[in-house]
Amino acid sequence: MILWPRLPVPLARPKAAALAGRNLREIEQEAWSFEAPTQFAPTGGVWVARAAIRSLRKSLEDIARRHGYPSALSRAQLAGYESETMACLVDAGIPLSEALRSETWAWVAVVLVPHLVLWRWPARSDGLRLERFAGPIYRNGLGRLWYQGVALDAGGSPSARWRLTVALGADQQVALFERPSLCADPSVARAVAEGWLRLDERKRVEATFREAMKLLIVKAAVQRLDVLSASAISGVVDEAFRIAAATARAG
Amino acid sequence: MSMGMRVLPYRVLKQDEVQALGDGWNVVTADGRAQVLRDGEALAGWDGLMAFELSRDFLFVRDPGEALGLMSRQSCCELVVSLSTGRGLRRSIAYREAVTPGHGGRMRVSIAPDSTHLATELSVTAAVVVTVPGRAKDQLAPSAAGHRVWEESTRIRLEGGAARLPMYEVAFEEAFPGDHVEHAEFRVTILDEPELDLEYAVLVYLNSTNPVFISEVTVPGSGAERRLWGGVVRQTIAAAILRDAAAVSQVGSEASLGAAVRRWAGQIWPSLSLSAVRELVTADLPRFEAQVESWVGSVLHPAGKAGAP
Repeated sequence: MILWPRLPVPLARPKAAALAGRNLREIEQEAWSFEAPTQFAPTGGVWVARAAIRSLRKSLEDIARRHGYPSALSRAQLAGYESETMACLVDAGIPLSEALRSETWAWVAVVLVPHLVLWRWPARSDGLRLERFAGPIYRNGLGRLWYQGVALDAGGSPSARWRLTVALGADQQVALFERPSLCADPSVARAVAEGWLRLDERKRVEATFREAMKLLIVKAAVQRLDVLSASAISGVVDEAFRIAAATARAG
Repeated sequence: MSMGMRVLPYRVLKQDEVQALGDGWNVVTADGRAQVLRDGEALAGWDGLMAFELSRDFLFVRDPGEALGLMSRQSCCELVVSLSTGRGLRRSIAYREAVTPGHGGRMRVSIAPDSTHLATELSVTAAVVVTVPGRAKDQLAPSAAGHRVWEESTRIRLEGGAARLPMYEVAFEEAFPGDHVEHAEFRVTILDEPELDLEYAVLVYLNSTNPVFISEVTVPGSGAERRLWGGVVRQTIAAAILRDAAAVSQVGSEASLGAAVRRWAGQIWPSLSLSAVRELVTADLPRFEAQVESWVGSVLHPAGKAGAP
């Protein structure tokens, strides 16, 4: 069992807040460490090797540079950057028991690569979005990508493997993955993404997706989607998208 | 305009038609330790390396198909046990088996969750779901595969609260600059949200510049252990009820800060209401503190035994 470093969220937030207004290059120069306030689970297991952490940081930085870091990230570059980062995080081999914790992602975002999170989520006029550094996993700038990636990883060749994450745009991923009651079972998350792909491209608008998610949550309260066969769950998902598309059109 | 997916009302199994036997899930760890875990209880000593098995018997007092108004002679339902962890972020099915038609059937479920896939808590949900609806006796029979007709859920705490209150070693000088606490042995921070689970609402920091205290605190019966737990309980009760005694007194989940404060206060002052405890804190702080110390001492060392509150 490999233990990953953690940063308690109450400690991570002031550290993240202190990043506002700082120069990315200057932050990048600061060394990461396992020193306090970094924590490891006080239980059995071995600490992740520093070499693995160094390698992850380098991979994440290389991806960012390919997409323009440290210049401002353009909208056109965003999808490619997030898709590559997602694959990198999924392949980093973080054990589920460590990756399902907001403290682990707070450490990655605030200690390991704060410059990349600040680059992706720069401060707005009302301040830094602290939840992107130290918030729930599905809000953390990097944790959310890992969470989406492990759920939508379709396996197979590199091009086939991430076809579902490509199919779901950023808005759809937020609408799906901020609803763990629906997507906590990866088979359901994948079925939703497959259903979205089957929907006529002209009907694939944000309002349709959001309405379909609401319908599926209501449906799932009385009908277990995770026990259904692949064809049966496809039927339920398709019906939700069909009704949602009609609602969007009527609205 | 919003359109809905049709969800017709349908018959479900009555609570006495399916019974989850025993008080909770039986747990046996790899080292042979056995425990019965009821809803909200903690799996003692859990970590990511622990191998353990959960088992429970389920009794179908009545044939589920007949009870639901389904006319198939074949099995129409499955008993499905799913596991949810990481505060609901990850869910998977650990067991599913067709329920044999007939009366008085008993099913034993045994599952061995992989601890490396678990975090924070484990919710074990046993459910009976319709899988092959077939012909129905009337319109109230469940008509679709996946319809939920019975469910029972048990939340097992793996960390936090009584299982393991998070404690972090930090250098106070760095973590709390300007607070002038660099020589303190420990510090307790308590969030102002009594409905939060205890492990999120109460964080205990140990001063890493005092390694002697950190090493002593793990020794059962040590003065350091008693000082730490006395401080944690005293400060948690005082902070929570001084901020909002009414919120603490409201019903919350068993794992919440409010529930922990009620539980502790109820044991220390069985005859006092929370508002009376609040009065005690404000009117006679030394007595409040001494009574907490005394209770913590009795809990940590009952007849020489040690154990956190």
